[in-house]
Amino acid sequence: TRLTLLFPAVRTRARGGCREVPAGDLLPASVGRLGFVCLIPDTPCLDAKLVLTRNLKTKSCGYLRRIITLSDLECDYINARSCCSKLNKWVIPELIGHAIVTVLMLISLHWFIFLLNLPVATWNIYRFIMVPSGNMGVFDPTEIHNRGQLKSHMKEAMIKLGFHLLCFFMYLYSMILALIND
Amino acid sequence: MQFPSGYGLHPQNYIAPSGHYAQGPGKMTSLPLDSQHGDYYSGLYTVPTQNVVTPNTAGQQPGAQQMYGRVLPAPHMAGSALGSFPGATSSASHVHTSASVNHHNSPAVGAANSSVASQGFPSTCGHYAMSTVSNAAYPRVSYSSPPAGDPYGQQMFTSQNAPPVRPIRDNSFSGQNTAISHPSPLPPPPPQQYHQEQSLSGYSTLSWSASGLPSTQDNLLRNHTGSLATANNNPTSPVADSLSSSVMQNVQPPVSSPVVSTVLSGASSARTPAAACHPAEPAASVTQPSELFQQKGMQYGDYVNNQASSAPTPLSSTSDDEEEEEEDEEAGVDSSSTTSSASPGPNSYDALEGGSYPDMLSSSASSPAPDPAPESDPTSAPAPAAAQPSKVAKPFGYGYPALQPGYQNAAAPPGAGPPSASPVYSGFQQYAQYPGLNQLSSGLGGLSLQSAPQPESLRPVNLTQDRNVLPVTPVWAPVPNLNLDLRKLNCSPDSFRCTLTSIPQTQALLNKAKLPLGLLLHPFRDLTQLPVITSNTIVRCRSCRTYINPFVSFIDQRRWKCNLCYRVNDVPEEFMYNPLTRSYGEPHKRPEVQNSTVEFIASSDYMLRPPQPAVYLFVLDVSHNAVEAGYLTILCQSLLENLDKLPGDSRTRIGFLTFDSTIHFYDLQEGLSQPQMLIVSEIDDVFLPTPDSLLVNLHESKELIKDLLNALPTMFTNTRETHSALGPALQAAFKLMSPTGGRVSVFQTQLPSLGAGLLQSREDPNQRSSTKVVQHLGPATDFYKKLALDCSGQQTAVDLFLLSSQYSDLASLACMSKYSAGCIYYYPSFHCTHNPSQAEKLQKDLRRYLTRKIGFEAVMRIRCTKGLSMHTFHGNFFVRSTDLLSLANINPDAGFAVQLSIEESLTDTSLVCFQTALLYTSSKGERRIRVHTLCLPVVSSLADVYAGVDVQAAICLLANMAVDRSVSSSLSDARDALVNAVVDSLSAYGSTISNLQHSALIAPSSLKLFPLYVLALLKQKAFRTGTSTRLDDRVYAMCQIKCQPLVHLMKMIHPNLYRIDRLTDEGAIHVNDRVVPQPPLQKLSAEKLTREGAFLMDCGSVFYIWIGKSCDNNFIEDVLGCPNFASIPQKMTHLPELDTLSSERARSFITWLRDNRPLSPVLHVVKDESPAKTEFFQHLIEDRTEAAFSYYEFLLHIQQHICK
Repeated sequence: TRLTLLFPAVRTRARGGCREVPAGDLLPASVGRLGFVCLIPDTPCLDAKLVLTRNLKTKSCGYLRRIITLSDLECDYINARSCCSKLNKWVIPELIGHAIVTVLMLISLHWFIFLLNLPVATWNIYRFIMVPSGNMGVFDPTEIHNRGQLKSHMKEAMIKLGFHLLCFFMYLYSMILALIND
Repeated sequence: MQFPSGYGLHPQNYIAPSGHYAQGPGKMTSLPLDSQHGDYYSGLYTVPTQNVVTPNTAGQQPGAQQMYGRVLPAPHMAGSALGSFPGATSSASHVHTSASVNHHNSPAVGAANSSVASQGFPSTCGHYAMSTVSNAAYPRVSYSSPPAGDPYGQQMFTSQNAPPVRPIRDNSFSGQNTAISHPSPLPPPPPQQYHQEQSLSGYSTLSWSASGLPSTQDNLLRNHTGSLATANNNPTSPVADSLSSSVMQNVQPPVSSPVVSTVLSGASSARTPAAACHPAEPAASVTQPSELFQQKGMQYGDYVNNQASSAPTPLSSTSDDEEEEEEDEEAGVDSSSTTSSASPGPNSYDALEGGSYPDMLSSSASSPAPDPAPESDPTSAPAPAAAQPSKVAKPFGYGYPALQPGYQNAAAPPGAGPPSASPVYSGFQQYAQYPGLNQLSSGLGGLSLQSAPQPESLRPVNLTQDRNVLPVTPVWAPVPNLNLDLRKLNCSPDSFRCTLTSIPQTQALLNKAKLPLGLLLHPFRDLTQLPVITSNTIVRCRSCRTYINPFVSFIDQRRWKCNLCYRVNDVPEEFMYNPLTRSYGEPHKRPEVQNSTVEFIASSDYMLRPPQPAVYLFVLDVSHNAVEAGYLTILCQSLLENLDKLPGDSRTRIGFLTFDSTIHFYDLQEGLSQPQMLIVSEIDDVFLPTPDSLLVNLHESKELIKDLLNALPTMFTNTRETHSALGPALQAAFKLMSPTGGRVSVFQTQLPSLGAGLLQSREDPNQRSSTKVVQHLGPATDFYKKLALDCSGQQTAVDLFLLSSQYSDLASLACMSKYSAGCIYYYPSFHCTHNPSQAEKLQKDLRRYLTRKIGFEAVMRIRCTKGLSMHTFHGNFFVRSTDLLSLANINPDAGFAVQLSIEESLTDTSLVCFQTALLYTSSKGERRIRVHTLCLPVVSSLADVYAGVDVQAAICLLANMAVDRSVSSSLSDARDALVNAVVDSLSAYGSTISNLQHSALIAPSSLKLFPLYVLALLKQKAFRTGTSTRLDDRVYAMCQIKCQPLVHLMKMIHPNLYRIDRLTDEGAIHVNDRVVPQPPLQKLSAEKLTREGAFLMDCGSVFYIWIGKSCDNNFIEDVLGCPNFASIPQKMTHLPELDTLSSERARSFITWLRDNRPLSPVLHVVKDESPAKTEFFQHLIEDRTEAAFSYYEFLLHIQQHICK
């Protein structure tokens, strides 16, 4: 049901209504798993791609969670401070994870996938480096409500979610292909 | 009066209402309850109410009568069947009113007041409103019947001798008026006024005169016939109906035309309007309600009938819902001097007797522009006439002329013109048509329609040719183009302003106009008085939680429609009873619905914990540098003096903490023989040595505290410690404060050099005058930001006093205050003996700081009509969620700005509202909510948007945005953005006007100051380049831009220049028995400075007096106390108190300017040849400097951009 928050209509309604006290974090930890039924057999990894697929799966979940957290913030369910600290925690893991994937692809000479991942990885690093010295991370609680930052973060998370979903199926496909070829 | 001239008027707002509320109930209670109600409903009310009224005003009576006699012809008095006494009372009240309302002129107001008062309505706000409208409208109706036809009217006319037919007459009269009845804060009528009035299309003048005539006539008539009529009608229910219907009408502006015609026919059939209305009344009143009903606006539906029926029911609920109207003591104390005009006793008396009359006052105060009466609805006239037969005629002579020339002049651009029939004003068109519809004497009615050229605010001004764009009087806030009623109810522009007083319908239109849309708030302003409401249930919209406000509409007696989200809500039972009038079933007359600024005493629902006590912690730097600067002496002295005045109650707690490279706590526990100092040298992991006894009760440990304060300045005199561990000290302070919350005042004199949060010097002195890049405007570390957020979470605000002589990285340090809702004070090169002016400033600032009002654990929520959304906030606070600002402390000097965008088209609404609700704990431990509501019209054409620009608000919002931009991007970006703002808006305007002169730079009159102000911004310390500016100074200027309220900010941006060697009493105002001259404003250009003169420049926080080389020796001797120019000392910061006229004038003027601002400015006397004059000359922003354009060059620069 929390997923409904993703739809703009619901969000606008919630924006009109204002709650005096943020209800705190109501986000169930398991929500991130929604919608990703494991299609992969639970066998020891035969291929790097399998690892990647799993990695990807959790990552997409991560973005989903980010979107949910952001929309919580937008709807006043959570306050900016805790929202940002929650999100900032994952910025570095995301950055490292993606960098590793990209490098792995390069090493295993999957050029196409490497090139696909490169811009995203670069963007992650760029964004991390460009944080002004006085800010508390990529997500700064004092600025997140200003100048439409919330919206742009949301948009970014959406795009990444799409990207990773795409990758997920691509990897899945190539993994199955690899399994069959074996 | 809080603010200089421009804003002087508004305090009245508050005075009046609160006076009324505060005293109203008391008076009312003295009445026998039963009789009152009985009377009220049975229709015999006139007598008892008179009784009510008279005693109240007894004190004033003689004066009143005097006035009365003066203005009114005696026969008239005799004519009033209800007895002259009440009449006199009313007239007295009126006189006061008109005097105080002066600026706002509207004849309707005056008339309304008097009529109501005399009629003796206990205190029903609605009636007032109604009567206003009616009066305003009435004239029109009656106009049709030639005024000459009625002998009485004629007589009145002449005898009263103040028929506002000619503007000139008006003026003279108003002058007289002012002189007689009260000292008005008004500047003298500026000469333009006449032009304006005339150019104004005669629309206003005509209609005014029209209104003036008939109403007097009408009044007279009523005096004769009215009493009879009342007697006859009152007992019958139709009267009740008519009464309430009239209420409805006038609250609800758009009346359907059928109604009009009905009434009209009645009117025309009768010979005189007054007579007319009586016959017409039953029909009109009965039919109107139902028709009115569907209209938008405020509707009171068939409430009438309900009311009538519910009338007899005994009021059992009286006690529980009693409204406790108390004057806000603190506000009263704090508020800087109130102008005499603003708070004369009589006003509140009037308020008293009039019941809701203060509302009128207040509302009219907030609408300074002359309200063209025609806007209001003519149909409502008859009913009031019927309802208030004993009206006294005189108001007109007075109320009318009071019309405030000065004001009008100032406000004219936006306010005066627009309502006339120009087609763009769709909202008002219908009103404008009424006269036509009614077809009064066609000639006159027609005139008011035809003679409406372009509104003044749209008059194209050729900027490159018009060299004198700056008006000689201060610029006033434009008045939203609303109808009279709403305008009167609207929030004071001092508290709440919008950059566009006409909101564009769609984002596309807004984009086309290229103007910033946003709000400027000063929510916790010191108000002389404001209505305070205690109620068990605070009525709010169930879905958007909006507080009930004057702009909601009542669908029927039991339901109201939210004006922000349009949800229909129930009116709770408790709200049905109006403790002011002690009547039941009049929810629309409750003070919440009559005032756009109210304060609620909140119940426990609004508390997350019991209200906190006032807790003050002082964190003092005592390193060598600090001791050298010597601020401790001043601080301790100020604290000792003001210890008893610290806001708080018996629970107030106070604590001290000093630091150098270690942290010193002071145990002040009651019972100790002397304060104990506890030193913690573990700065990496600070702990509290004794958690309980460091913050102590102020009253219990007062002796110890005094001992400490006396000892502190000398305790560290021999210190050799040069380090400063500010970070750890702040952490300690946070730990100390976190259980309660409160205020931490940090005094810092150097760069923190130890422990967490240490900073490096980042400023490169060689870059100070760089024209390219200015770096390090942002914080160097997130330590202070995190700390501030932690503090904010624990309801602790950190106020920073930075008293340093070198670079101290204010950009980083300021974060501790920015996000914890604190305030920042900066005293560059502070030294208690070497720099006495700074020392004096600190002393005065501290006095204000320590004693001003304070609110704890506050949150502020800003709501706006569905379709609009807020996206960026400016000020010192932490945005906790989308529209909730968390303010650990709120102080009366804090201003805020909000940027808005239009998300959904506003086509289906004609009004938008904004509501600010500030929930705070007062220093007395009460939870309170202060609510401001602003209502603005929606327009669909670009011309209207331009007509409604509030250029000052726009510039302040732009300044805020530019600060953000320079921190997040770069200073040059911000400067470009400022220039582009002018270029875009002017070129967008240029493309809307048809007769485009390509060679000229055309701006609408409402925007004519825009380029000047932007140029001023570019030359402001915060944004200037090329002139040597220390980084800290620049950052401090930015901080001020972010958190100053509009009035003060405007002075910082564009100082005021006055010539003071020839002050005269011409146009002077009277403040507290002092005559304050009002010299005209001068252009900020060296061409205005003559060697023979002396000039005063008011830059907000600094005053400069520039003395020309060949300045008159008399002036130098009389004012400065020096024999000649050569003997004037170089550093002069005071004007001696000399017993000469010119000295007295100069001093009273300067004192008056000073009193209008929270922080006392420093005065510098600058001789023409002294080195200090560069300081002075850099504020002459219209002149060219090496690094920046002159005004004319800037215009050319803009023009080039536009042509590109």
